Amino acid sequence: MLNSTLEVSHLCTSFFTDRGEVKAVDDVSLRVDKGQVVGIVGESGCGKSMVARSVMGLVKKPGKIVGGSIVLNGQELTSLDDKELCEVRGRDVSMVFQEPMTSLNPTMRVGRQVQEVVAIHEQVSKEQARQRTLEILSAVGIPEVEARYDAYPHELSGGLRQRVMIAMAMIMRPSLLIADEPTTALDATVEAQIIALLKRLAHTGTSVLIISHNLGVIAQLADYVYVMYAGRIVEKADVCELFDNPLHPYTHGLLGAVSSLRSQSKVLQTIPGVVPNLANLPAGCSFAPRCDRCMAACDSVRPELVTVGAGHELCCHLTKGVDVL
Amino acid sequence: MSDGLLEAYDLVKDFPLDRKRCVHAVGGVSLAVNAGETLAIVGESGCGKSTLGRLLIGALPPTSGEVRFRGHTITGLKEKDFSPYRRQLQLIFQDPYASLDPRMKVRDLIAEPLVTHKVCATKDEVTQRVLGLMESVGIPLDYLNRYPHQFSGGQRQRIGIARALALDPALIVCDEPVSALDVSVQNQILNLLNELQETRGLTYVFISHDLSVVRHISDRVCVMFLGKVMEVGPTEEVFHKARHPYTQFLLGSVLLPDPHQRGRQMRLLEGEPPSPVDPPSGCCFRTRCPYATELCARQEPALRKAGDAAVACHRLTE
Amino acid sequence: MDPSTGFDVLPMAEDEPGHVPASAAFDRIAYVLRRLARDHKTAIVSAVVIVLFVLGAVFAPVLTPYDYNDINLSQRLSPPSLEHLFGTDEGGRDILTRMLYGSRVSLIIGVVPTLLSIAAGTLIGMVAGYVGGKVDTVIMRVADVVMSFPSMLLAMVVMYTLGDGTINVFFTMVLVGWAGIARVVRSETLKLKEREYVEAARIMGVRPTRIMLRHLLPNCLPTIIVLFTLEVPSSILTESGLSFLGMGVQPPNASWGLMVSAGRVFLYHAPWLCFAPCLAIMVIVLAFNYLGDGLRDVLDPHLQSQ
Repeated sequence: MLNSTLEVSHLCTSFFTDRGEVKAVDDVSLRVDKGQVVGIVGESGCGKSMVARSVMGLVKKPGKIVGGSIVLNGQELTSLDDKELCEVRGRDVSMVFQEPMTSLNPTMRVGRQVQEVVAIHEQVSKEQARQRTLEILSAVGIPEVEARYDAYPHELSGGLRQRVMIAMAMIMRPSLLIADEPTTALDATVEAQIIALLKRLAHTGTSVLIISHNLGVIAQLADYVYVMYAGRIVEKADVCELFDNPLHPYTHGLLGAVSSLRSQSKVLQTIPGVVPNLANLPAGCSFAPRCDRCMAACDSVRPELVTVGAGHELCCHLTKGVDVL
Repeated sequence: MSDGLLEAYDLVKDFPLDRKRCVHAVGGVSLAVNAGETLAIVGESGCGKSTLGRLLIGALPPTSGEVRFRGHTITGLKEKDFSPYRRQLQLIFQDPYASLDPRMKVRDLIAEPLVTHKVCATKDEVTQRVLGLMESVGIPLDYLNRYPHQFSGGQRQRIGIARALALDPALIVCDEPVSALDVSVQNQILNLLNELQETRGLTYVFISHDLSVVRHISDRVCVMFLGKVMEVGPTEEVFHKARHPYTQFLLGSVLLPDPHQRGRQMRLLEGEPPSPVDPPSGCCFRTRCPYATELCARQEPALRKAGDAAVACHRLTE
Repeated sequence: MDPSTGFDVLPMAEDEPGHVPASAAFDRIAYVLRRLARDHKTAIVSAVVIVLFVLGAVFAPVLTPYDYNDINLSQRLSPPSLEHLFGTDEGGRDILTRMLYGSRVSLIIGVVPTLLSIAAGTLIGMVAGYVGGKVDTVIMRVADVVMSFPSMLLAMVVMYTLGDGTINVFFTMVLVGWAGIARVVRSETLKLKEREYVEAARIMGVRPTRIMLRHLLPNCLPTIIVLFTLEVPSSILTESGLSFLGMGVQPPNASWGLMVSAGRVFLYHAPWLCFAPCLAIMVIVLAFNYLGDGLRDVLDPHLQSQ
């Protein structure tokens, strides 16, 4: 058995618009080991959700995967056709979305919706499918499952709906669960519950790829973290290493922004400027216009990922010759 | 409560659902906002904090109760009599995408309150005022004739702030002004709000669900649950000595951005949130409270002084 | 410039893919045409067809050597020939000429009453939607009553009461047409009314009339434009129907409906009398419908993306 559940290498996903190609995901490689929780963190529009959609084969037109490979449990996904992808989705890899309000069919009882997933992938009797649905619903912490089975989505709270979504994603025991901002639409107390649930799932051996803009979620859940900026990975490291020793000026700025909120200082630390437009990126490092440590090379030469420590890679010109930060 | 700039007395707001039932969005809130301070209202979605914010500035008529601004009752006034207060009480919206008319230029968006209240005599004066406002919120002046969709979220929020400042208000209700923004941009806006408060002597009512933002920006905090005030007091006191069980749970569920603190026992709230259509008897938090007793079901706890704060919980007397 | 505000790297709209240049109305029209040309070629063809019809109506006297009422009994019911491209009718009048002149009536009747009903319907619908309550209930019940009658039947009743003539046709068609438009505009208003920017205007104390004019109307406009293109053909059909039944335009004036009506007697031995005006009605109705479909696709998502 392979050690890695998911291995993405040099993935490029582009959108073809009136104004030319927009690289939403640009040369992204990442790896999720068995039972590992991997986080992707970045601001809106950095392409983190597009990585997830690419893995799921859910890139919509005018978007397209233009290069790279996605290997799930030793199987190459980019060469599969739609029908084969459908079989992989839900069985080997599944996804939880941000919006538990719109991800469920409002006219169908939730139990039936979860059960449907089993029916698609396996030949089982109705009674068996129902039994398995009830099991998974109680496994994700839904109280009074028998009653909830016949409830409609609108009768459930946001937290319960997200639990139903997770149940639906987990019922086939996929080897990889992708969670795209699973708690962003939820309240703080519910968010904590869902994070605890995902933690528990990871302990049962499921690999989890968690995508979030919330550093709290990443810090609490992920073992290994990729930081994305403008479609590229700018830094990757073990979670403790990343939070203790952030090397990329962007990671540094993000963590500074969050930690200064918790400090007593009156003026908060910010990253100047705005997230750049993917259609019009600078020639060199995408972060250069916002970077306070920008050098001459940054404007013209694009940096590559360089290993700077054990499992710690960085995409920044500061690595060259200079003692980083 | 007499030195307050804005005072609310027993505000109630019900939204009718059908002939028999209604949503009890705000159920009897009394509070005072002091001049120059930032009062944060925190709570989870559906706790009535946004409704309360709109009741405070008279954007919604309360079902009962009243609001006083500098001692004058502003509830139940006719449009004409309310107009001077309207200029003093403004609102900043959560969603910078939805709150700006997509078909209006920045110039017209910011000028609209000036034109509506006939503040300026000439068109030139309006333009001068608009330019001044743009400068104070950090929008470059040459973007005067751009449309909202040409700006990013943070920049739109600046336009919204400029519009709220146009009439030189005394108090601004900020309804989740940064929750739709990215972390790095969020801090820019918070810094701007702080700076404006200092230079213009503004008073804020800051509505948010994000406790770390609230802790940074506010002087006092009011914790709401299901339309009622659970706890209100100075920020440091509430964060360090949370007395109400709900406040404790809320603080306990913050996800710390520190992987070394993973072992920290998170306090998870059990059960489902009660419905605002049919709230529980007595204390509205009792169905989820681990300390609930028979007394909590029978009698609604009143806000009682505890240290510098006030807390609505029966446990406090023991 | 203060670096913390970050405007030096502002992603301006020109760089954004699929953005709408809004700097001028002209740009917006150019954008709509570009989108139509890419995704809705039929709509562009339709627009060309409509323009051709309009030009034909305007330049009718230049385009044909005959007058629409040149009776020439020696040439009665002659089939299409080089001299008379679409043949002649029972009075020996050139059918092409009568069609060109008739298109004036049909196009004016298609466009003017539609504009009037859209103006009336928009006003009524917006007031009903924005004010709500009893006003809304009363207006909408009246609209329901109007809409519950088959429009042709209602039009016939009104025409019968008022007597025939072009002005009366206008009046009738507005009376029948406003209700449907009011319904659509009302539902659009109800949707827009809940938008935060309308609430923002209310909180600033902007008067309702100004909110309707400045905020609601401009944002309803794409819907109204589409409604217009879909209503024009139905007006043309209503006019044709009324004239066909002898209640609309009176001879010797020409209108397409009237021509079909007059030609039906000779359907067996001189089918060209009906053929040409029927074809014209079909083509213009289809053209407006295709244009409306195209515009709906181009204008609607653009509004949502904003």
